[in-house]
Amino acid sequence: MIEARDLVKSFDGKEVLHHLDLEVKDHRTLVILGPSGQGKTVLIKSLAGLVTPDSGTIFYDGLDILRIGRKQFQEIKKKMAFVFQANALFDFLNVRDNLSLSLTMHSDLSEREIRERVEEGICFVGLDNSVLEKFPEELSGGMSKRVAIARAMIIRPSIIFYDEPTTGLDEGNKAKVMELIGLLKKEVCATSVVVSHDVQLMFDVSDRVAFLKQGRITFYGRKGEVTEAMLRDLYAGGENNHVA
Amino acid sequence: MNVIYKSTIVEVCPIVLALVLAGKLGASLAAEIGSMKISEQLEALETLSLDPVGFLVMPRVLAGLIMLPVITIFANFIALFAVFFVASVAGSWISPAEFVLGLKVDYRAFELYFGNIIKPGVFGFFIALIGSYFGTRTHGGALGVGKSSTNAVVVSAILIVFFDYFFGKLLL
Repeated sequence: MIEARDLVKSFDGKEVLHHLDLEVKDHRTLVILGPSGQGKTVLIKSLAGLVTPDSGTIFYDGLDILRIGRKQFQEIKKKMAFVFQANALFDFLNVRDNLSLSLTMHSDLSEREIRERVEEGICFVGLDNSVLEKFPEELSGGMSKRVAIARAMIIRPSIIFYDEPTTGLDEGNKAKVMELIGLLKKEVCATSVVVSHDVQLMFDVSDRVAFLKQGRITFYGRKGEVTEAMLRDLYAGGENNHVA
Repeated sequence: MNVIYKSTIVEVCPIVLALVLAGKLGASLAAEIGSMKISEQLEALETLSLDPVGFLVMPRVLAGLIMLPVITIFANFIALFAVFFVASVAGSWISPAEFVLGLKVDYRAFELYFGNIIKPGVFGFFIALIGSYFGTRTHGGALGVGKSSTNAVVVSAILIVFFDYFFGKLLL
């Protein structure tokens, strides 16, 4: 279980996260919904340990990741995956090496097993093996996103973070990515945290939903409890209104 | 001949080469790592439990430390050969024997090591370290990458001149 308690984070004196509490139960998918500029990315990066909050605590299965040693947190990270908004594929490596990097560095798998795992991963996201020899710059946006999901999938993580996974994708790729998030949840039984401004994504993949507005959680519950009025209120005055 | 030899080996080649490489290598490192920073690739390394400093910076710093002396030795060799060619072969101003004799006058082995290995090694270390440092501190998109590259070149160039003066005073 992931728990955040009383998280505060400021940048240049501006409070982005305001005494925020949140929890995600094991094997569940939490979608954090909110308009742009409300602190979603800061929140998910804080939960993943990429941004250090000014105060508060973050627990993974009761272990405070902000206070444990670096080595211990490195071990936890080996079971964690992050799908970045801009995919963050390493542009100096081809797709095969992008996918196999973590396994090569941290696992005891043989070269053959790693190759098989990589091919399984690329097949899982519906791409051809020929993509493996390409470099990130040769991929379309949709393909890059799928490769990023494959990179997350092949390490068999117990926690997966998705930062705006459908942003900038056309409808076809968006549907595919939403399908992959659902499939990945079934495949590896991971605890997932998704931040997005996409209401459709929330309805498709979430077990629990949290609304983030001005650094505060304004709603936490099941997607069935979300009403159109709540969504209108969430996006009122925002720059992106995605109320279906 | 001795003046040309000493000024080339100890001063001109190491510092000119270092300043040129500060412009080329320092800017390129800052831009490369800076682009990785703004496209979240450094954070992606962290999520894969890889230390960006160990994975990206250390190999580059080590490469700078080792390769700058190698390039300097090569450049010194080319420079001395060019002087020999102009003075003894094309110009016929002095004989090859006089040229070699001139090199031996007031020869000190330490100067050879200092100009070819110690100085370029320190310069290479700083060029790579400063380029990488500014790269990892990049923020603010494409504009930030440009600023990091400029800062890397400026700071590297200043440090190279400073260390050149400092080492010259201290060691010679």
